[in-house]
Amino acid sequence: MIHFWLLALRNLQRNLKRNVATGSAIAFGFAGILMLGAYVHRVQRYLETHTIFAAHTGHIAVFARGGFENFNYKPKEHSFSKCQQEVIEGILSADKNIEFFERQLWGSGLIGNGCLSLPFFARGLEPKVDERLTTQAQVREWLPDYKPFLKGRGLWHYPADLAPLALSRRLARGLGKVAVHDELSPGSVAIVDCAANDARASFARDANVQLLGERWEVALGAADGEVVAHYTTGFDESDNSALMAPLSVLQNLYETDAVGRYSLWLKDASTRQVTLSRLQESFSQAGIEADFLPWDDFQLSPYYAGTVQFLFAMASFIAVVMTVVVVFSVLNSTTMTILERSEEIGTYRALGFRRRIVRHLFVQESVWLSMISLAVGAVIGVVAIAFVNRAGIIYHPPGISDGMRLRLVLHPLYAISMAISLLLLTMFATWLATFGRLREEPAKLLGGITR
Amino acid sequence: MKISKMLGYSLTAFVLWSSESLRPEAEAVAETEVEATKPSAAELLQASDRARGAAASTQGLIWNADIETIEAGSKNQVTYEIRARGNDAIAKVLAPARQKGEVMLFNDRTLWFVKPGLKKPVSISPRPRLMGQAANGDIASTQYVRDYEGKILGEDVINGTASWRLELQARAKNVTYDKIRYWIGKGTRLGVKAEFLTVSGEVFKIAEFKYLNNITIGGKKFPFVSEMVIRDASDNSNVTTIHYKEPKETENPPSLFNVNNLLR
Repeated sequence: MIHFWLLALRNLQRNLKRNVATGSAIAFGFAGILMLGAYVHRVQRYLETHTIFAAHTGHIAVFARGGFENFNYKPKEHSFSKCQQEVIEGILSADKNIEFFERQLWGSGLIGNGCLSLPFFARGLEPKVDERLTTQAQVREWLPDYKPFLKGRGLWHYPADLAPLALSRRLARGLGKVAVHDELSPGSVAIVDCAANDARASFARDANVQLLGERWEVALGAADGEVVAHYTTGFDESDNSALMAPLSVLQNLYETDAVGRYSLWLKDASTRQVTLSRLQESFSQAGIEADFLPWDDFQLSPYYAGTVQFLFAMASFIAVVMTVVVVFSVLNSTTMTILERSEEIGTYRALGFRRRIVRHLFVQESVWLSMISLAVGAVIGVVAIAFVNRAGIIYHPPGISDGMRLRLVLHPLYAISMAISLLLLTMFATWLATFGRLREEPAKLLGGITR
Repeated sequence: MKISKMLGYSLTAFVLWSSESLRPEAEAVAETEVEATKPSAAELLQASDRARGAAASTQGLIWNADIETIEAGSKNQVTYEIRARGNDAIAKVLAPARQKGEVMLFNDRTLWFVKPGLKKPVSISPRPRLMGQAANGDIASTQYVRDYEGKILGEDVINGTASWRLELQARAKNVTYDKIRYWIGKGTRLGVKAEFLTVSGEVFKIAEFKYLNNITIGGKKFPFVSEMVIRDASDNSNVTTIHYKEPKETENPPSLFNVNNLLR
């Protein structure tokens, strides 16, 4: 048996040029597939981490029944009351797979600088959880360059009574709040003459703003706020209206102690479904009506789900095209080789070698060629990936607040599975190429009648 | 005989001709007389605005407004003290206690919201709802003649009152409504009913008015609005009623309407 393998290896040298050409097709095709896979893997993990941690989605989001669809219209009816929160937090704290959770609230209104008011859409978060999220291992691994703010510091650095706010970039610019709290002298609040020519310049003299919103019960509510940071949502349509505030600030504005949702982060995300079922049962037993949405639900994370779906579809298409090219190269080269080696096949057959044995010999040659090419392809791929990663290219896909470094991360399992797939496909192509030729009579093969 | 007959025919023909030729002139005269009695839209709006707190006094007016809302079965009430002078008005919350001291200032068409403890005033739009069906711009004095271009479209009888039907088109973007269909009593020149329309012309709120109050301005007595009932056009059970109480002429100094003074 070993003799056949050695014979197959020796045979590779007989038509070196063609084998090198075929091997190059396999090697570069495999390198391309590896790079593509590394890109998709990295983007998918980046977006996953961004969605779960940076966007505060959690592994599981819990809404009051119907709250996901209706909270914006009827917040009072679709939120968790103070009493419900106590029960829910008891359940969540007791669950062994929940690492931590966050209460959230959101709403809209007007934000003013003393002269001008603009509409806002605010997310009320827990600053301590925000701080915790930035230090998570997954965030450090997949978002190593993650900077949540363009300017200023996180909300957790400031006391709650300051009512710290992080404003989206264009909202801050629209209000003339180009400087943040830390850049200004403490406690300064400039009263601006709105009719004055230099009114706009005066807006930047302090970081004080006013939030105005419709109270959940009745009439308008208003609260002071201090701009401590600027950030970008990554989306043009929300970059001129989004703001982040501590939960307590929004509760104060809307005069409520309710929360709109809970985001849950799990210790072991692979058992999410089991945890989700367990929580549903616990909530049901406690008489709390709630909707549970996993983080990758299309409604909850449309950007993640849509982007990843598109990326997979695109990458699969490219991978298929590359694979087909490789397979056809092998098929073509093997067919040519077999035609040229008809006398050799005829000799083998005349000496008493069965068709199967001869076919195996060709397949073994193909296996050698593929394995050597795949090894070379892996080296080319790894070097190319390292080169791309070192280039430090930054690009700005929508939805990513601080831009994304073009990094490719190869998943070993993916590389091995693709190598095995390509190997099997080249073996199949070789088998297919030899199939017709080996059916010929040895006499015909030796005489070169069908050549 | 023949001559007299001919004369007779000629006279008849002349009379008939002259009467035919005079008829359009006579009708034109009659129509001119009617036109002369028909007021202009601006006159009607000016008169109706006066009964809703608009610039009738050089000194100023004061009244209280209880805004009562019923929405989805729940009831809420807020009491405002409203002072108006010229194009300016200020509405201060008197009750409930947790809202006491909140102020809405109307400087011409610019609105400000101020709350005790707030470091700066907030510029707001008259359009968003203040509570229930009432928009921010509904609570103070009405300045339809300033804010809307009016056109008389016809006549209707509303709740037994013969009324002019007007269509009001907003003159500026920063007014409370884009379009209003407004009925003003022919005899009283008081607003009877209003339909508030979207840009596309659909009615989304309907208001009806009562005038049981009187106000004396410069020694002359005028009727003054006592109730405005605003209903959601798509859901009749959502109702906001503004009760106007104790309207009187008073001295409102111009400094009262300076936004910077509100924070001091």
